[in-house]
Amino acid sequence: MAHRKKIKDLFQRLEREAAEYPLEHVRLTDGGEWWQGLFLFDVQLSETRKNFLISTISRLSGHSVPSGENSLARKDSCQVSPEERAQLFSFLKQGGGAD
Amino acid sequence: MARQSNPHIISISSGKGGVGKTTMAVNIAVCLSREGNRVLLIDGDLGLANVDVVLGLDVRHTIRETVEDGRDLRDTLVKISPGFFVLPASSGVPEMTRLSGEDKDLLLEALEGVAGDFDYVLVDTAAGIGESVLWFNNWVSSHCIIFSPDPTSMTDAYALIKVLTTRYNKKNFLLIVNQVQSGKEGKAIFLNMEKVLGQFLGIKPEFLGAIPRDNAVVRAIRNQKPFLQSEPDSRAGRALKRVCVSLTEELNGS
Repeated sequence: MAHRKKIKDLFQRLEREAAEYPLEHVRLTDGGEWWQGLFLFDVQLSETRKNFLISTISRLSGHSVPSGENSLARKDSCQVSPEERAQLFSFLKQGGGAD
Repeated sequence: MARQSNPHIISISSGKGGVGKTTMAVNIAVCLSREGNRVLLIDGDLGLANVDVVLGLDVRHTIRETVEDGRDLRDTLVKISPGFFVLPASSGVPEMTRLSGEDKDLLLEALEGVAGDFDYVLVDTAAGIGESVLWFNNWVSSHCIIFSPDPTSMTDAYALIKVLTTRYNKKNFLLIVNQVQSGKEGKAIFLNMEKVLGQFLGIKPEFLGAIPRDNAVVRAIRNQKPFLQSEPDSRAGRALKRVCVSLTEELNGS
């Protein structure tokens, strides 16, 4: 719960401070340390905005936020969608190539 | 062991556990070494190692000692045959699945030092999409993904590829379909996976081949021997040799 509260608090503060950069481009995700991997940046987000958000998150969280892979520079969610699953399984429902 | 080459470094991953990843990794290593290559198989399941079990090894030293005590990785190498070496990992050590950044840097430097002595370096990763799986896959240049016709296996293999593509910008995926009823079934399953990967992730994987269900594999696992060694002319043995031909052709650009 403390973990969730820290995330929520940070997100609210970020929302206030980063008002000029709409946060619909930033979504919550999972992470190891509570502040890590908290945010996904939309692929459409410019480098300027991304850098602003990274520095703001660093300041608010009190942690140094890496900008490389496996961090805040993530481009998109990796959740396998129902459409992807349907395509994967459609083959099996058709009889799957077994002799 | 003096020469320093530019080895092909390949991960062997699956997403789901129990699809024959370690068995395939060991047998591919045997096959490549029999072709005159110097092959290193790294047990990348750092906390729940199995390569030593599949090979029936009595392991005294593991990668853990390099991380914890700075032991030279070359002193941990186990020679299986003239061209085939193994780097064993530890079993039942959860700490090894949560290495610090400093430990990872140390291990990576040690692995790169050893890798240069070989033509092929295979990393048999843990199942899942945990930190060590992603870390090893980020190190290697090619990713061999093994999956079976089971829907859970296909989903997990796809999810792993999606993570590696989306977050690590990895593109070189070599697919093996294991435990198939026939070569025809294996090819059809690959084509379906290829279609979904192309449609949703925009990538085109390569097909290394399919390995049939074969009791020769079951017998070899129980005897802790590679099936390529105990029953080389079994259906699985012949299929694996074809997979190795495809793998070397793919990596060497034939």
